[in-house]
Amino acid sequence: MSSDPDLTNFVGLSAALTGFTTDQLFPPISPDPVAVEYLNTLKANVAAALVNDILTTFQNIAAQNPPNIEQEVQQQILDDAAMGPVARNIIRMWYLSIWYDLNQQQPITGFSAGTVVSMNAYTQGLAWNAAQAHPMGYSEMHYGYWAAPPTE
Amino acid sequence: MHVAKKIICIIALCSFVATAITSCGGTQQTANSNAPPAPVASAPPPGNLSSNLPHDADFSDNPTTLDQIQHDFDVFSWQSFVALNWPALPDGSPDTSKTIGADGDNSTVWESYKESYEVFLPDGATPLPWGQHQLPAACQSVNGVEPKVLRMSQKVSDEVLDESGQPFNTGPIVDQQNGKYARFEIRLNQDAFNFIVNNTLYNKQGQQAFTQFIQFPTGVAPTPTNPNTPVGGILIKAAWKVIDTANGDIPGRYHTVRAYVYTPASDNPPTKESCQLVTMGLVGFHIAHKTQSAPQWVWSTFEQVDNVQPGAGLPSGAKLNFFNPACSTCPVNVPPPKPWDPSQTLPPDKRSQIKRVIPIDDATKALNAQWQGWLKAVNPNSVWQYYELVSTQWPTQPQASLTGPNPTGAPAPPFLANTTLETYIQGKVPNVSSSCIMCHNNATTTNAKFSDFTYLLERAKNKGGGK
Repeated sequence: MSSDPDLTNFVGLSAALTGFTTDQLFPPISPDPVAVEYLNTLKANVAAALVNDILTTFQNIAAQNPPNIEQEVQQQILDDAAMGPVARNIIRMWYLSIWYDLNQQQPITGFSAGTVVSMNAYTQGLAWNAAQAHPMGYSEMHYGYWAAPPTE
Repeated sequence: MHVAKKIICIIALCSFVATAITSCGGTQQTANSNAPPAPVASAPPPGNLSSNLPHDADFSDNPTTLDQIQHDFDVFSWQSFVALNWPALPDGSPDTSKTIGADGDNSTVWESYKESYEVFLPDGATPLPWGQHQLPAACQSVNGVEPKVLRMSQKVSDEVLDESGQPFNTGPIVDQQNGKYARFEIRLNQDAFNFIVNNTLYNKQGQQAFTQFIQFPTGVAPTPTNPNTPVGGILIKAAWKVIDTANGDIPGRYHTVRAYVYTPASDNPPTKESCQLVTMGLVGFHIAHKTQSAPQWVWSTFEQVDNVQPGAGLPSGAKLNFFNPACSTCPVNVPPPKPWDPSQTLPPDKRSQIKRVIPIDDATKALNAQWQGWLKAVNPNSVWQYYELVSTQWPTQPQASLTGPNPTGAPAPPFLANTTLETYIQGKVPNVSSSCIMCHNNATTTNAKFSDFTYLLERAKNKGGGK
């Protein structure tokens, strides 16, 4: 894991929010870790104090090593009036590679007012991994993959 | 044609400056077999120079970071470059009594490998055995005895483009010095060649009949308990320029060969078949090696140091190969205007103006200086000191399933290009810019099956002829 505590907490929080493991979100050896881009995007778009609240809250949760960390994140972060919308935006960012404008009416019902984080992020949206599919214009799967049944 | 004129020669793979073909109709020799005992070199080569071709990268330093692993793969690249360019015995094996560059230049091990056109024959026939080579008919009437034939003026030959519609027709590269087209060749080592021949993958019918998942042999590093491990499949792609001393080329800065430059007949543009015997200098060099640590293959790429910027020791005023610093208005990284006829000589304003888009990183530059220093220590006039590693691409997640959603294993660096071989697709745009593993992940057989990261199998023809 990174020596940057913000990045460590961000990846840990992201794992609880997305259902992917920390190694999947931030591989130990990675040439282009999108987690770094996502944390930078978060910091560029959300007030520093609020980002700090979220990451500190998660750090405290993780320090207690609770049996169900996702439940603690739900109660302490997602259900919080200030932190909740940002945490949900983090989920969207990981799955769709898009940062949505937090100033629009919540909850977000459409796909407007969003910005693709980067070309690198576009190819790494978790939605594609979860659906065993690929974004438009980018696929690593071999010709004829669609004929094979999905894996578990 | 008289059978004897066909020159289906047993090329004994002699030094290219000596008698290259010593016998026709002799007994085929396999590399490393029947070779006389090699005399022991009088002094060990400097540094880590060795004729031993590595079977895989050496991770005995227990690397834990991306940069450390990159370093180990870059060392593997240099070890491979030196071993492949080691002086060769007549059977193609390395001459351990000699040292690379001791005579300035030398014949090389890899130039005894099979050329792609010798494997995928127009009639889908079985290739000649390892060690035997066949010239195109147009070259048989040209005086000379050299085994090398350079025919491609783009990275992928036209005949392959006709068959597959691959989007690689990005254009040729033209020499700043003399206006001649650069030429390319692709060669296979014996492990790769044997795999193709033993499984009849050299024609369409054989590929159709092959129902297994295609997996070329994997290189495995030898151990004290298992010293006889396979080398693994190796594919070499080389770029060459015409050496023209009258136009300022300095032959002592290139590995040079006398080669048949073959231009196939074409309707568009109208081009007559031709073959000329020319002195060519090596300007680009890819090594793709399938290893245990890299099922997606390890991709090393080298260039001659004067391709797009002055290399060390280039005399003041000497021209670069593919960039003219005096021309501020020349369009950069743009292919020459069509029609592309490789038999033509282009005027100065049509020649390639090429810049490297992604710089060589500092760690690789430092490693280059170390290995170039060792090569120079062998002989201050060694041509091999004038080559540099651009980088090595390897999979950071080699365990990724080759049939899963991310078979490429997250390559590092994500993008890699050689200015002579991926000239016009340099950059950092996913699925567009050059990335060895990402691109070759799309390679298939003629019946659209995954071909294990090589486009070569697309060149197979129908058995008996016809497309």
